[in-house]
This record gives sequence, structure tokens and C-alpha cells, in this order.
Amino acid sequence: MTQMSIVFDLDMCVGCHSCTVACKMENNVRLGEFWSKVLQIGPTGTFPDLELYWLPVLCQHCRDPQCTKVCPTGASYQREDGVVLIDKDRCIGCQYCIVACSYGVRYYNEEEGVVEKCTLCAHLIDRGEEPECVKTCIAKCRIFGDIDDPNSEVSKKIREAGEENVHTLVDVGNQPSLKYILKKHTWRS
Amino acid sequence: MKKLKITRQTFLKATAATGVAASLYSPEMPPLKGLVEAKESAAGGGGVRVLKSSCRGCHGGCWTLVHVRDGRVVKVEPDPEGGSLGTLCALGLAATQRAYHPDRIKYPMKRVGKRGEGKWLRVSWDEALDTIAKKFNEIKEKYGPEFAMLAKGTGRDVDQAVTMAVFKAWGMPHAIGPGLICHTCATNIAETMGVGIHGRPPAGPGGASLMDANLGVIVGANVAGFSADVKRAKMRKALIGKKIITFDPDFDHVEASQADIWLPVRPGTDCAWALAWLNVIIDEDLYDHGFVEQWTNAPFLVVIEPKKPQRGAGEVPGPLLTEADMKLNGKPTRYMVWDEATKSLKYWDATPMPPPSKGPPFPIYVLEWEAAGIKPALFGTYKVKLKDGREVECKPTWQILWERIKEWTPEKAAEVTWIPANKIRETARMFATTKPASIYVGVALDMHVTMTQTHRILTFLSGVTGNFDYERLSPDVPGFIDFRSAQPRVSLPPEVHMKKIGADKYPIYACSSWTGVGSVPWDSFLQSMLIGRPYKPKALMAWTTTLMWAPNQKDTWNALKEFEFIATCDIFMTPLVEISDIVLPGATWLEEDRLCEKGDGIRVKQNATGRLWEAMPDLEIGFKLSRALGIRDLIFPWETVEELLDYQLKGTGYTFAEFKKIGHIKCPPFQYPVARYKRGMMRVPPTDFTDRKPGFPTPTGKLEVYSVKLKEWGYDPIYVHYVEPPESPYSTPELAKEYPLILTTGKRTPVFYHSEYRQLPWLREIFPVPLLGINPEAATELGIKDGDWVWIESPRGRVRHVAHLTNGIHPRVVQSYQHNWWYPEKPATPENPKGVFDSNINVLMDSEHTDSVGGSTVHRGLLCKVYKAVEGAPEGIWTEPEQFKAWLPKPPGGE
Repeated sequence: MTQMSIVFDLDMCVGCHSCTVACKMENNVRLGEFWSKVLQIGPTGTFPDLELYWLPVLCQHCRDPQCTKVCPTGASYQREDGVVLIDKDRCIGCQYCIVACSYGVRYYNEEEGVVEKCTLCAHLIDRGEEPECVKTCIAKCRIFGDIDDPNSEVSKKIREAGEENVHTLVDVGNQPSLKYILKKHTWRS
Repeated sequence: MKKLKITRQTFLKATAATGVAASLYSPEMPPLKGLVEAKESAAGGGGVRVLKSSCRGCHGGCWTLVHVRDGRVVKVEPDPEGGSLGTLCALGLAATQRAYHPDRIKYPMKRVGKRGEGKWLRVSWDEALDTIAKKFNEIKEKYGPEFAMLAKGTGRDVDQAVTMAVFKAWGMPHAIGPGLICHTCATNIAETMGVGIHGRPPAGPGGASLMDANLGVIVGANVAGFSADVKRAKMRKALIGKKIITFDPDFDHVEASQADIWLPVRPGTDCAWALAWLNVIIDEDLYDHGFVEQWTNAPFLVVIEPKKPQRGAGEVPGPLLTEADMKLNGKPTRYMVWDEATKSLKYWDATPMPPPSKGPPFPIYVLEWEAAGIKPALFGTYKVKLKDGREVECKPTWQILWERIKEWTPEKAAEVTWIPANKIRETARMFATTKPASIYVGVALDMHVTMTQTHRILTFLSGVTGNFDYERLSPDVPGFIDFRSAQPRVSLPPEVHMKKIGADKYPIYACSSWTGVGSVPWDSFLQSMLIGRPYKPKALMAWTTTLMWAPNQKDTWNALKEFEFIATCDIFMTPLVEISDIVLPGATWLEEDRLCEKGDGIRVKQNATGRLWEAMPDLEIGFKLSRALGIRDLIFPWETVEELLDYQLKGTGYTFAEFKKIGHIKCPPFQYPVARYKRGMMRVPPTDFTDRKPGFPTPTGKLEVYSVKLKEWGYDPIYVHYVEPPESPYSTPELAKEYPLILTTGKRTPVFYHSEYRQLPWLREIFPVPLLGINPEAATELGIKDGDWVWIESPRGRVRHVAHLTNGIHPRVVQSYQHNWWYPEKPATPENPKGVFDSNINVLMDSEHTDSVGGSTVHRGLLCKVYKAVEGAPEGIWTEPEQFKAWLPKPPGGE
């Protein structure tokens, strides 16, 4: 099996939004829409005993995605390598997938009448490059690779971090493939 | 492929356009190898050319790959080979939105309406430059060159050198710029001690490198996430694998949130904890005696004859005791110490030697006191008989320092700083006992009335704990070559320097050599423009600056309007452009051919867009303007920009045309040699001391706890006293009843740079409005909810921000996010061009209270009140993505 994914080292993320802008540039994302965004989690606690980290949020490229199941035309689909994509030619803009997604990372493009989202920069990874957000990351906190390959950098990173420090966004059975490493602070998704 | 050998030193020499060569002394670097010519990359897909270049969205220096299709830049991404560890931030990524912005200044223009009315007429480049030159030359002839001024924005790479070179060659003695509250002032202070500022370039022999330290002390800096610069990614890396102590009122950034110990200091009071650290370190005997005795002037005896200083606070304890006081024909440069070994007076001979004809290879120096068996006393009181028969009381400088700071216990500092005493004591001990320990100071301290003393104390702290030029030193976090050492230098005669506005009040400023963006101190500037004292300048050339950094913006704008003539060069119609008479269209970094020397070597910057409209790169404008002014031969002995670039590359063996293909030459990381002060490597040009004697480039040859320069200028020479912020609950309790909150400013947002980028859709949609960080406890008391528009008011005026509730700030402190806010979407009006007074927090700042040595003003730690703005947002501003669509790129031809 192959599951392309991004592992985020949240102990490194600095909340600079470079990934947000890199994504907009590479994918010509419309204003007001963010296929990749960064949330500030915290500060939590009572002054001055506080915790804070930043959480990049984008399509989780789930192993068992809900969006593809509810799509009436098969426009939302999962590739062999695990990347979840939308075939715009088949999308009828019904937006069921937007409702089905737990993460609010799909956007309806009313000009084209289709739904759009993070493609893991499929056009770049197919020619051996990394997604643009990974390339530009100031903190080098995004690592891209095949999470099913035990020898990949992402798998190594996850092993090194230790199970208790590896998190995913809320999982209702859809099995998000993106992983978040957080050691220094308490995970509050 | 040419075989190439270059060292940083030879490169810098090659880049010194005129005048003196570089001052950096580095060991020979190994030859460079592994150069690979850039190829047309297939990566960009069909028909895309990928050019190597370098960003200048901020101070710049990050290496970029610029993708060009059909002559248009379609993408900018980081070059994994170097720069900021192969990364690029939002400012660089958005470069296309800037270059092709529909609101760019496209042609030279002259104003035809009233100032700020927004009526302009397109003119030719020749007419624009001739108008500027004629006006400036008329003023010079009639009144003198000091009646014209240059205004500069924050430092970039070569443009600063160009603009300054032009006007210095023309004879202008002064400029106005944000160096006053950012870096330059602090650098001047450091130079009086004979060192650089900790962790910031020019790095002098400051403290240990943060990158290598086992303990990092970070003071008021958001570098990794929210600042900008080639050092950003390096700073992130530097935070790993060591203990971090962070002093910062603000928790919401990585330097604080990832610190092991975060100490939320009351804004404006850092001097107090620094004093307490020194107190603990002396009291508990945690300092490096060898360093203090040998390399500082702490053992030098001071004649105790206290009197009031001419300038500033404190008291002058008396002069240093010299041999000339002791006997006939004694030398005034022989400073006396008390030798505990022989119980007698000995001297240190600081007499400058003639410069050696050929430099020795800088051997490691033997401790002279130790070699001579002398044990200089640091404490005590000694009776000394002078040559005139008088008996005077003398104390070592260190004893006086100790008497001054004895009262600054952690308990006292805790009351002032609001940091618990046990934390101050614990961290002082950690700092003194961890080697190497590095102090990294952001810009915050440059905006206090205690700027001078705080930088002095932190420098002592690094020195007396043995962290200067620490043995494992590797490239410091800033990690770039200081271009200033390679910029054209034109010397002005001293009498011209004395005509600088502010020279009477701030002698340090009169003496400074006008490198960097030094600025007329703002109280002196406003006085000259508004009262005409000592005289009122008539013309201003503002080169890519909005001057929105300046305190008391209302007075500042009234002062600016007093200029008879203002010329500007900019990329967008800023508020300052709107009140100018002539505007020149500047170019973005995508449009210029240049060399960039930050990051990991020498990198090309190349014109990827072709000429956009009639916009012109700074270097070219510098050529043309200097010709119009009639001074071109003084600074630019080249016919074209390309000839200059060829000249700069001379040491490499490449022409600029060839270098565009190569892209860059990596230089080995800059290694400061170990213990430069012990090897005589500090007393070298361009300092005033060139004898290569071991020690520091100061009159006493030591790191000066007792500053001979400060004494000469009429200040207390042991300048360490704490001064409470001019407005605070303690210094002005009555005012604090009306303005109960403490305001700190200057926090960065990651997608803007000072006043820039509010008109770029990708960036503005992330931070559409200026924010005020406020603790929920304070907000609840004031009836303010997250997202409410609020007024922030001081005795100088009021502006609007949006309340951002955060636990990451003390309930009695509020913080303005991103200074210099204006609204490019708003129209030009004479009263409030482009919303210049709507949200810029510097409307509230005070220009009257300054650091008495450096002249910097207080932007962190004044009083304010905050209340809900029932009117909501300022009229006519944009906050929605739909509105920002009007700013999407419109390249030439598509109009």
C-alpha cells in the first residue's frame, strides 16, 4: 500500500503563514479561501502559565474518506497513492462533500460551480517534487512522504516521536492520514 | 568552468565601490568548489524559465527561484540550495502580487493639486530628476547642504548604500530614518564600549553565538516566526537543543511559547532585571575575574570628586586617575590601578602605538597583569597622594559600579519589572554558570529611555561571564555579511557634522559617521521644522519610507508639511508620497539586476520581468540622479549599472552576465576567530584605534565600564542607572488614573513588513485589520469583546484597532500588532491621506522623552486607555476578500 501524507512537527511550527501563501500561489486559490491554513491554538492556561502552538489545517487525505462516499458522480476520488482529489469535469457542485468533511477544508467555487481543496500538489508530486507548502516551510516542520513505507522519512519521524506524541485531527472512522507531532505542549485539537 | 578562488575578504574588497575596503578580518577561506551552472529547469513545466534570484521583500537575502512564462513571472519559490536554509516566507512568495499590482506608481509624476489632494500629472524621467536636482542645488547654494535632508526606510542591501552615497557626496550631513529606534542608536552605544551589539550585526566581539550556546537569553525578539530576514529559519533552528530564557511582555510567538522560562517583563523596564542580574552575579561572585581584571577598565582608579553631569541623569564620580596626576611628566594615558600583590599603585599604559607597517599574525595574547605578577584590586577605597601634594580618595571603577547597583536586588527589580524575584535570581545564576550563554536582543530595547544603559549592562553581562568571542563560536544567527562595510563611504568634514540638527543635544549623533540609517533625533527634528531651531531645512528626498515609524505622528506630519519641497521614490502611493511634490516610480526586486550578499554567499538578483511601466531600480535611479545633481563622477565612475556589477564581481573572475547563469557562489560560513580582543584584532580600521594592540578599540583599550567617551560628552561615565518610563503608574500616577493601561507596540505580524504590503491580497486577507492584544480580564472590565473595534488613546491622540483577546499578555498591558498601519484602499485627502491617522499606533507615541545619550524615543511602555469604538471601523476601509479582488495583478499590456 501507499499513502502519501504530510507529517507536521508542531513543536517546530512558528505560525508564519508561509505555507498558506505558498498554497495560494501554487494553486491559484481564490481570495477568501484557504486550502491550507494555520490556526493558533492558545494561549491556554492562566497568565503566566501558558501553552501555545500552531496547527496547520488542510485536507487530511483520509484513508477512508467520507467525501468520496457521498459524492454522487464520483468526482471526489482517492488515487492509488492515497491522495484524495476532485475531478472538476465530473463535479456538479452539489456540495455534499463539504458537509461530509469534518475539517472544513473544502470550498465551493461559485464561478466554476465546483468544489475545490488541497490536492497535496498532485501536479508537483507526480513529477517528483514536494508540495509547495512543504518546500517553503520556514521551520521545516512539514515532512512529505509515504506513510505506509516504513523506511520513508515520515515513518521514521513518527517512530522517533513516540506513539503518545503523534496525533491526528478528530477521527470518526475516516482515518485522516496527516499526522501531527506535539511533544512540548498538550494536544488540543 | 573557470577555476575560482575567492575569500570573503577579497570579495568585500571587490565590492567596495569607492573609498575604504572592508573591515572584516577573517582567516583565509578554502577555495570554492562544486559550482554548477544553472540550467533551464524542467521543473516549471512547459515553456517556463527558472531564474536564480534573491528576495528583497524585507532586509532580504533569501535565495529564490523565479519562474517566468512568456515574459511574465508566474511563481516565486525558495531555492533549496541556500539563503534562509532553503525556505521562503509569505513576503517573498507574494512578490508577483506586488510587481504586477494595479495600484503601482508606474510613471514619474508631479503634484498639481494641494498636498494630499491626490492630483498628479505624469512627467518624463528627465523632467522629474531635473526638478529635484535644480531644487536641491539651489538650496545648497543659497543656504547650505544641511538645509536638505534624506529620509530612508529600513535598511535593505545596496539601495541604502546608493541613496546615502549620492547625498553624502552631494554634501548632506544628515538623514531621518527609523535607525533612531531600531539598531543604529544601539550600535553607536556599543561602539563607545568598543564592541558590537549582542547577537546583531555588525556583530563586533559580542556575546557567544546563539546557534552554539547552551543557554539562550532572548530579549524582546520575534525573529523565527514574525520577523523577516534571512535569519528567520536560522533563528528557528537556533532555538532547538538548548535552554531558552525569554524576556518579553508577549507570549504569542515562538521565542516565548517555546522558551523554558518565559518572563513577562513590564514594558520599558528591562534595565531593572539586567541590573539585578549583574547584582546577583557580583554579589554571589559568579563573574570571570580574569576577564574583568584584564580586559575591562573595572580596576582603573577613579578620583572621587562627585559632581552633576552636564547631560543625562546620575553623577560623575570624578576622573580616572592617571600617571599625569601622580608625577611630573607622567602620561595621561597611563591609568592607575591598586596592586594587591605589592600593595602599591601600578599603571596600565593605554598610549596608542603607531600602526605596524605589516600586520603580525595575531598571536594569542598573554594576560599582562598575570605575567607581571600584578593583582589589580576591584574593590576598596584608597588614599592617593597627587603630584600637587593633595591627598585624594580613589576607588576602582568596579567598586563604584557595585555601589551603584548594590540596591538592585532581585526583590527591588521584581517590584519594577513585575517578574518574581526568585525567577530573576534563578535565571541570573543559570546565565552565569552555563557556558556558552548567549544574549540575543531584538529591537525592543532600542525603544526605551534606558536604551543606552540597558545595552551597556547586557554587554557587561556577556563579558564578565566569559562569553565574549567564546571558543566554539560559529556563524551567529544573523549569519550574513554586513554590507555597510562594503558600501561607498564619503567622508564629510567635522564642521559639517556639527551642523547636523540635534548635534548640540546629542554629541554621539554628531560624531556618528552616518552609516546605517542614522537619524536626526526626533525631538530635535520636530523642533527644527516647527520652531525653526537651530534652523529649518527646506527640502526632503524620501526614498522608500513612509516615516510612519516616527513618534507623535500628528506633530510629525505638521513638521513634514513645513518642507518647501518633498521628492519621493516609492512603489505605491503612500501617505507620504501623497504630500510630496515629485514622485519617482521605484522597482521591486523582481525587476532589478543586483548582487546580494546575505545568507550563504554571493547571490545574483536578476531582472525577471523586464521593465514594468517606467519603474526603475534604485541603483539606476542613483546613477541618473547623481548625474542630474552634477556629482556623478564623485561616486559612480561607471557608465552603466552592469559595469558596476562587473566591478563588484571582479574578485570572482566572472562578469555579471556570466554570474547570472552561475546564480551564486557559496562562501564558507563566516567564522569569527576565537578571542579577537586577545589577539589585537579589534584595534584595526575602521575604528579610531589601529595599533593592533590586544584589547578593545576604546581610549583606555579596555571594555569600558567607565566610558571615557561618555565622560567627554558630559555624561555620567558609569552609565547604568535605571530610569522609569516617562509615563507609567509609578512615574506619573495622576496620568495613570486617566490612562490606566500600559501600551507596548511593534509586535510583528508574519505577513507584513513595517508599513509595507497592506495592499497585497494574499497577505492582507490573512491580517485584514490592525489588532490590539488585550487580556480577557481587562477586556471584560471594559466591556470589550473579541473582534470589537476599539479606540486606543494617549495624551497625543487616538487610533482604532480590533480587540484580540489573549491570555498571553498581562491584564494591565495591551499590545498593538503591527505598527505603521495605513489603508491603501482609502483616498488621498489633505487631512488624512490614505488613512494615515486612522490606525497607526505611532500617533500615540511621545517625541519629547528620549534616551539622553542616543536620542531614541519610547515606543514600548507608555500609558493609554482603551474603550469600545461605537463608530466601528474607520470609514472606507476594506476588510473582505471580495474587496481585495481589485488588487489582483494587472501586468502591463493587460490594461
